[in-house]
Amino acid sequence: MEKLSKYFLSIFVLFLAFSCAEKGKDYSALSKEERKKLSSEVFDGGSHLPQGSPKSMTRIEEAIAIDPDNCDAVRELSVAYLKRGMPNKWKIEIDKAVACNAAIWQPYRGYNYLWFYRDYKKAIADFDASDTLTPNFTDAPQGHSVDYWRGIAYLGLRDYEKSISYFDKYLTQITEESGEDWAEPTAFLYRGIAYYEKRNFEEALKDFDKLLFYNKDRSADGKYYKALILKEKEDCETARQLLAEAETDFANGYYNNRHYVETLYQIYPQDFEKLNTELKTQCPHKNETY
Amino acid sequence: MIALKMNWKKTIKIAALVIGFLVIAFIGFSGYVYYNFYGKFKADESRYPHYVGYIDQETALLNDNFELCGDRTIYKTHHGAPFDAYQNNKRTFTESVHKTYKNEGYTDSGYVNFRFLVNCEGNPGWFEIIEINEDYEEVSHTKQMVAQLLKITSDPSHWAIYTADKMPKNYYHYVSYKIENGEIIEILP
Repeated sequence: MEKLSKYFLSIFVLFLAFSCAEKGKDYSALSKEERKKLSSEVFDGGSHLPQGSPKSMTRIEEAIAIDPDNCDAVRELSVAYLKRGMPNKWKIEIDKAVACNAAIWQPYRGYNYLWFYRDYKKAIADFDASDTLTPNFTDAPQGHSVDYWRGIAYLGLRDYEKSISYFDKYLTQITEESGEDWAEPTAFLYRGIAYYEKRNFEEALKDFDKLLFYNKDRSADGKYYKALILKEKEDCETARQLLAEAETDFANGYYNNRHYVETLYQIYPQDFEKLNTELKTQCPHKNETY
Repeated sequence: MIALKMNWKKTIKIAALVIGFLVIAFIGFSGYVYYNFYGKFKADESRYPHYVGYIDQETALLNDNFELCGDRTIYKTHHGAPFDAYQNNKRTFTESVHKTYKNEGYTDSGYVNFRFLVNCEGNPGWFEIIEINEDYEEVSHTKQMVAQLLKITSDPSHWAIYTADKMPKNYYHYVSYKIENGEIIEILP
């Protein structure tokens, strides 16, 4: 038994020795290519660490120290501040990312301005800059064309003409390149809202129908806005039916929303209650079946 | 009988060795995984003593009105609780804020952010305030305006109880007021 204990102790010590071993690296001795590769390894190797944790932030800083041109790492330094409501610190870090690689990170900063700060003018300025930075190429920060984002930003500014024109541009391009079914359905929702705000109900209805078509007839927003328009057209019964369906879709989670922030023109149950009351009190008593 | 007794001893010894080896192998493997996944990453504690967004409960404003519950664990530190924090929903909060807030001649523009904790009873406290101008530079906005916004935001009636695993929890949240000439034009996130 005594021997056995010695074996275990030896194995344990060996294990500890391996665990604590650490490779020392002299970054200055590395070539530019080697630094780039190592920086990526340090950055990517810690991508699983909790965002904004001391270990994660330290590994990002280390990646930048190895290769200051690792603009992905420079940008990543800003993200936790963005999500946690610390714009003073976010701005400093995101500006460094834009300085590092404007073509990639300026339109992305525009996306941040748009959604996290509702700073439509600054967002548009960044989206517009991407036209010059990457001529003949439509950037797509966070997966959507800058034209789509501009459509939303101008809607936020209540410049409905420009909003519609950017959604037109986005939808035309994506339809020509891949087909309309590849378009983000909320482009129809938001263009429809822009038409609705302009009281161009016919065009708005076309867009809400498209939204419903591509969402397999499940969209509280599409049905709610159609109900609003039908109320205006005094088709009260259809408006009521649509509103009831909108409430069901909403309850089942089929409504426009975003992960970290309230979306533009977010609908709430209060909207349904208000419209319901208006339909009861204001909508002419025709086409009704109580 | 003697031979049988010897065999038992040997069997127990081998079994102990095997079990011991397996235990050490398991510990070794777990240690290896832990080290590679987490342990080998260093934290620069002088630059990052806490996670980004950590609120120092000792220095935060309104830190003595309520107590954090349980083991004081704070949920929702990743990005706040935009879908769970508001009593009823955010529309209710927004409408209430607009009804309560009065622009008493303020001309400030920019943002006022309140980062805070809500305890398991839905009581807010431990506030930190960030004030920036329209270029996102830190500034001091009109004191009375910020105080009014703090009073509104710290009203417990706005905040919901967040539950996880059927237990009420402490959580982090932030509210950002976008101000133009003293008027609230957006409430974020």
